[in-house]
Amino acid sequence: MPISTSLLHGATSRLSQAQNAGNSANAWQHQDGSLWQSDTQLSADVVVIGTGAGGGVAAELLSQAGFRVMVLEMGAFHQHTDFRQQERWAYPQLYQDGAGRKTLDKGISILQGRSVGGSTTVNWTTSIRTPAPTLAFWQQQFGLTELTTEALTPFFQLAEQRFHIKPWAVPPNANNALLKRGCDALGWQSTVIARNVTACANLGYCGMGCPLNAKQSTLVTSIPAALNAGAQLLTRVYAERFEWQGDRISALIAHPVDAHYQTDRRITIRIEATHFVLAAGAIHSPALLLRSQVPDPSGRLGAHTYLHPSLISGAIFPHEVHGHTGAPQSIYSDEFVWPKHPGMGFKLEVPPIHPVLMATKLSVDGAAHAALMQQFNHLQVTIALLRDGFHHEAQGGHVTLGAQGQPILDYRCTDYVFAGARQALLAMAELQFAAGATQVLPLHRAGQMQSSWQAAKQHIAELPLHAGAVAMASAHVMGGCNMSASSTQGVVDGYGMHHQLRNLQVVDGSVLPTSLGANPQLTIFALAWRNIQHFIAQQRPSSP
Amino acid sequence: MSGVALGSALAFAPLGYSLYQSMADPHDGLSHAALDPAHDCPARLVLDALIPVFLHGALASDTRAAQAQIVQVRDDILNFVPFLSLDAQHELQQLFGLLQHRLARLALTGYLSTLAELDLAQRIALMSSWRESYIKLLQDAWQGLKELCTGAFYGDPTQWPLLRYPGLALYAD
Repeated sequence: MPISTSLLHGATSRLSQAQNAGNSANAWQHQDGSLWQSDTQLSADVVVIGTGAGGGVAAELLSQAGFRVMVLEMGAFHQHTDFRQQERWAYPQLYQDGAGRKTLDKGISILQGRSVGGSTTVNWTTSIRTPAPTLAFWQQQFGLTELTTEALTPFFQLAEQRFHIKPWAVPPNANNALLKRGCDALGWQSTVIARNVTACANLGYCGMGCPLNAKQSTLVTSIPAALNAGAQLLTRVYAERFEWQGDRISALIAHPVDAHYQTDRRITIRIEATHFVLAAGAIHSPALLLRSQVPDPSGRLGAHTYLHPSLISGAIFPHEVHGHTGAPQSIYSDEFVWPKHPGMGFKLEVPPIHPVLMATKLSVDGAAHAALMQQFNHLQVTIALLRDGFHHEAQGGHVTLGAQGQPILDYRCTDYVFAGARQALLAMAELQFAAGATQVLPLHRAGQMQSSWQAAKQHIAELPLHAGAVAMASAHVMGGCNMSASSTQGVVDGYGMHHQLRNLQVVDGSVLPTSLGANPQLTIFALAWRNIQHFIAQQRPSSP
Repeated sequence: MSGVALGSALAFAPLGYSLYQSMADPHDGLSHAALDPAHDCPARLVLDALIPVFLHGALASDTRAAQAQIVQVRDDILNFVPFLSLDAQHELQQLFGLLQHRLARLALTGYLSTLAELDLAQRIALMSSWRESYIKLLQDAWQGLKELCTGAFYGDPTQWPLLRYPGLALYAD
């Protein structure tokens, strides 16, 4: 798809204004922790750990409310002009573990952001309100009776306004259009996705950091707003553990990271504060609390980590698809997300198709791999996100600590999950053939190209499903510090306040009691907004 | 590069073979001199032998050009690995080391010869056997090596014409 030059130029100039307006950059208090040479003691009213969807909202609201806020981020503070539209630059620079993070059994690859803006800097902009059945489940199972659609609607609206979330009015790219075509042919439901962009040039490189600042990540919205309101930002710093006594945390211990984002424990940063907001993501947040050995009477700290484990199906179309260009996600189908029959629900979406993401996921080998890569522009790819956390055989994984305190995610798929995986592979193949595919390849080590839906049906039915055999990925890590009304059922209450430590609030995806059945960005924005606003209403800021 | 997936090399403990010191210092990752591409480190020797397997059909048909591609892929992998988790780096260290050790290699590959001494067909058959193995460690090693090799190769813009992937470069390096 050709890029509109005028749109591009317009967006570029607008973004420079956006990022530099207030840039006051000279007045911004930003320090790169990796440059520090000696131990340091700092203090603030509130420490916010993480700059993604939850941390960004928290930093903005708290600093604008008059609190002295210190924001920590493990990654670097990039400007849009730093972003290179190359996966070989983006993955090591913008993703946890160079985008090489995996579950303990290597069965599921995990994409999580690691730079200012967190995953909002690299996500595909899909913004969906929390599904009503998910909230209903939380009300029934976790006593979160205040988390109703009606109660959350004002916060969805605030977040949608703040992050410019609107249904994508531009025609979908061919990759998404084929998802819709397949749905239409089969009579399946589909929806146009709302995206957090403004003046988007439809480039397709969202996953490598938006080069135009069209994406309204926290990198270009909340964090600059917080800095303008006087917040301090410490980047390239790893939050190691809390010092706490009784029911209060007194300080955070952190260390710089090196050029490869590995923790350098030779230097210690100690930060005292009266309130601590944890938003390091659903792997690092529970890991920090586990390292801190905080009280955990419910036994749920680090447990029940959900991933929306996602299956992948590739298809060859007779015409070119160019899945690398255009908004990566603009159509989804919820045809199977809340199934009437027993079995695991799954949401259908598509990923952007860039060379490394594809080459590393294709399950074929050697010459067959090379041949398939030569059909790169004819590839359509569909993904199915399994909705975990709603069934006793889909209770997710758990975060534990390695010898150096590093987080390890042990997530083992049960037979129930694998049964859902098979249904998802079948649905995707049916959809792709209905959309006009000439061949479909379920991404599985024993997967082979199939030339008809009937053949694919039989092939997929016979595939052995176990960890590592079937390609699975996740860009949505949730749970591990779940909300619950009762301290016996979770780590934090419905406002993200820790059940035992009175000055600790968790506002990232780790608070979700289940997966969502929807991409989590907007849920995290809205919950963080509600919960931080609640905290502010209960406090009196210290004198400036 | 989208990831590496290697199983715990602790599975080789019965071989009585310990390659590396413990990771007491978390800074002791793969980025030390022993893995400097300028040296004949185990990683370099193993990758040079296995890159042509994973990129069979993708590398240039001209031998000299293919060799240059192999060197580029290997160097790109070695530059990328320090960004992986320390656990993943440790697993890679162990795998590369084991494949350069005579007895461990015999157990893993069935050959006393080094990988470089096997012809391409033998190396392809070996990796295929890992892929199909019932031993999860070998499956994981195959997957991890495949991801490293294909990720490095297709991440290089000079290879994009093969795919007719246009790329985008808004800002100069």
